[in-house]
Amino acid sequence: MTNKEKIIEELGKNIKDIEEQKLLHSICDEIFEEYDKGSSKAVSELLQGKINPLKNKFDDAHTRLLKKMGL
Amino acid sequence: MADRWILKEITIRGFRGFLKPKTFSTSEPFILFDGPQCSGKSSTLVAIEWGLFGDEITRKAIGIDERRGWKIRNTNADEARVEMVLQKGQDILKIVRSDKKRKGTSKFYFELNGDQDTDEGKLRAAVGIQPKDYFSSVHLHQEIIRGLLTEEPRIRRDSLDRLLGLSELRNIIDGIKLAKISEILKDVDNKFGLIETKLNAVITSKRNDIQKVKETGIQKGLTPNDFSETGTGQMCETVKIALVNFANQAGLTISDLPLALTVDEQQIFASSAKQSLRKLRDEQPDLKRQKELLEKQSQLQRLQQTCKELLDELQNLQQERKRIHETDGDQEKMRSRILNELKPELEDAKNRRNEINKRAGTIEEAIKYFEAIKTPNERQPCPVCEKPIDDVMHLELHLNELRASLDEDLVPIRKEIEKYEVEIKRLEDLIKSLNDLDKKITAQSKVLIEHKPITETAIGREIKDTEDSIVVIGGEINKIQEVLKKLETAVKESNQKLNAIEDDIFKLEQIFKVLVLEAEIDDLLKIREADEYKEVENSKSELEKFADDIGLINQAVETALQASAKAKLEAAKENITKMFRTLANRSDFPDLEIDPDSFEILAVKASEKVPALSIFNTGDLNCAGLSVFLGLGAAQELSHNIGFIILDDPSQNLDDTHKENLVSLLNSIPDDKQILVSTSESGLRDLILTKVIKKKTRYKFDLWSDKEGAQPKEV
Repeated sequence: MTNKEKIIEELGKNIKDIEEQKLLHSICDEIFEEYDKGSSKAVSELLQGKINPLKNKFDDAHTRLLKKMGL
Repeated sequence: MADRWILKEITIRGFRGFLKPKTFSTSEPFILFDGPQCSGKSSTLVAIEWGLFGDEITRKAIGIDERRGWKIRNTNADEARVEMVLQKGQDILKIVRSDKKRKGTSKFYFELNGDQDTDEGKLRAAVGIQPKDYFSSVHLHQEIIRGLLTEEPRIRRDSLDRLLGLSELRNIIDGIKLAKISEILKDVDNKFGLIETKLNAVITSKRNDIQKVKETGIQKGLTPNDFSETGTGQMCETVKIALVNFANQAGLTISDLPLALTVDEQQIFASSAKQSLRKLRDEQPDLKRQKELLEKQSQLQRLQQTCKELLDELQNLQQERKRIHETDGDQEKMRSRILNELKPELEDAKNRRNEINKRAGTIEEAIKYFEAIKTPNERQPCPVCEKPIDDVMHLELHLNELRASLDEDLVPIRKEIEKYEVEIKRLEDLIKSLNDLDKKITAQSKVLIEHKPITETAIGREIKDTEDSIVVIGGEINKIQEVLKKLETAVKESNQKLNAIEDDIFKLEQIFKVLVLEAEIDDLLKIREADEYKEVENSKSELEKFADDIGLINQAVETALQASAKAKLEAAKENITKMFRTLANRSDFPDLEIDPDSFEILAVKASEKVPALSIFNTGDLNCAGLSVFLGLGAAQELSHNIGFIILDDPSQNLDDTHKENLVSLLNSIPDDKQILVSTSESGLRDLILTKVIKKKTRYKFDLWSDKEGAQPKEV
C-alpha cells in the first residue's frame, strides 16, 4: 500500500460524506503530485497557492466592510 | 537482487582523490575497499553519491558539516566525471555526471534502458530516494549514527524516519506546516474579532457627535423634540416664506426653492435656501446704496485732503516771500542797494587797503635787504644812492616798527571790506531765493487750478472763485453722512431679518446632521445583515473549511506515519535486538529497543529500559547505530529502490570482538542486498576476506600520490 493510499484509507475512517471525501482525496492527489516534484517546499507552495486567494478574498471583503462602516 | 538497483560498475575521473580514470567492476554482492587512510576509499564511495545527486551532496541541508566548502574536482584535473551503471532485474540505468560541459553533451544525463534524459527529478523518481534518505538508509555515515543517538528528539526522530522510509510522510507534514495555514487563520480570526470592536467604537463616536450637534442646536434655540423628521418640513416652509417675503419687499428675485417633503429633499432645500440667502444679502438695495455712499464719502475725503495739502503748500510759499519782502524789500530794491550803496563803499575800502599795501611792500623789501646782510655791524652802502650807512641795525629796527604800524592800519579796512562782501552775498542769495519762490508759487497755483475740475466733477457742480473748495467738499461729505445714518438703520433691520432666516437654516442643518448620524448608527447596528458582512463571513468560512480539510489530511498523515513507524519498528525489533546482541554482546543491557512514540533508543535488561545515551560508551553507541541501521535494512521494509548499502569505515571504536561480531552481522544481511564496505583496518579487512560468505570483489588502495591520485587495484 502506498503512503497516499494509507492516507486516503485513514481519511475514510473519519469522513463519511462522499463529496467531502472526494474533495480531500483530490487535495491529497495534488499534495503527493507536488511532493514528487520537489518535496516539502513544493507542498508548502501548493497549499499557499490555494489558501492565499482565499485570504485575499477575505481581506478584500474585510476592507469593503470597514469602508462601509466608515473606517 | 531483482527489486532494487545494484551497482554494476563505476568509472571515476578527476573527482576529489581521483586524477586518472579508474573503473570499478562491482557486480558481486560484496565489495571491499581497503587500504591506508587518505588513499581514496571514501572518494570512491562519495563518487556514487555525487553521481546520483550532484552538487546537492555538498550543501548544508544534507546535514554533514564536513561537506561545507568541499571541492568536487581534483586540483590537478581539468574535469571531474563519474559514470555509473546500475541494474534492477532487466533494467539498466546509466548515469553520467561531470562538472564541465563538453561540446554537444550535457554536464549530467542518465539513460534508462537506452532512453536518455537530463531531468534530475526523473532520476530521483527512478531510484526512489532523496539525498537525505540516502545518507540514512543507504550510505551509513558516522554523522548519521550520531543523528540516531543524539539527545535532540527532533533530529533523532528525523533520522529514524529516514531509516524507516517515512520521509515522504514526514516531508508532507513539514510542507503543510511550512504553509503556515494556522497563522493565516489566526490573522483572519483576529481581523474578524476586531470588526465588533471597531463597530462599537464607530457607533460610540457617532453618538458623541450627535450629542455635540444637539448641544449646539439647543444653544441656538432648538428643543430636544425638534430633532425629528416631523418638525423639519414646517421649518423649511417658514424659511421659504421668509426668503420670498424679503425678496419681494426689497424688489429682488430668487430662484424657486425645491420641495422639502423627505429628509433628502429637505437637505437639498437647506442648501438652496443658503444660496438664496447669500444672494439677498449681496443684492439688498439699502446695502448697495450704503456701499455706494461709503465709496463716495471716501472719495470726497481723499479730494478734500489733497486740496488742503495743495493750499497749505501755496500759503507756506507766499508767507516766506512776504517775510523777505518785509525785511529786505523785493529783488529790485536789493539790486539797487548793492549797486548804489554797497559796491562803491567796497571799492573805496579796497583802494585804501591797496595804498597801504604798496607802502608796506616797499618796507618789506628793505627789511629783506638788511636781513640778507651777513655782517650787519659794518657800514653798508645805501641800496639807492650807495652812500655809506652808519647804523644798519638801527635802520632795520625803524623799518620793522613802521611795518607794524601799517599792519595796524590795515585791520579795520579789512573788516570793512569783509562786511561789504558778506552783505552783498546775502542780498544776492536772497534775490535768488525770491526768484525760486516766485516760480514755485506760480507752479503750485497752477496745480490748484488744475485740481478744481476734478473736485467739481466729484461734487457734481461748479465751484466759484469766491468759494472755499475745502469747505464746499466738507459740506458734501456732511450731506452723505446724514444719508448714511438713515441707511444704517435700514440695513441693520434687513440684516436682522436675514440673520433670523440664516439661524433657521443653521438649525435645520443641525437637525439633519442628527438625523443622518442616527440613520448611520441604524445601518451599523444592522451591519450583520449587510452584503459586505456576509461576504466577510463567507470568505472566512471558506478559509476555515480549507484549513479544516488540510488539518484532516495532516492528521491522517500523522496517524499513518505513526502506524507505519510502529509497524516497521515492530517488524525490525527482533532484527535490531538480534544484531545488537551479536555486535555489542553486553551482559548488563544485552538488548536494544526503539520506543515508537518518543523515538528514543533504549538499552534493555529484562523489564528495565533506560536511554542508551545515558549508559553506553562510544563503541557501544557505534554498535547501537550499526544495529539500528542494519536491523531496519534487514527488515526489508524500505521504500526506496536502492539495493545496496555502504558502510564507510564501520569499525571505528570497535574492539576485535566487536569486529568479529560485525562480520557475523554482515553475513546475516539477506543475499539480495549488495554490500559495499571500506576499511583502513587490516583486522576487519582480514575478517571480511576470511569470514564473509558472500562472493566478493576486493579493491586494494595503495598510498595516494600527488601525480597519480588514488591507486586502486583489483585483487
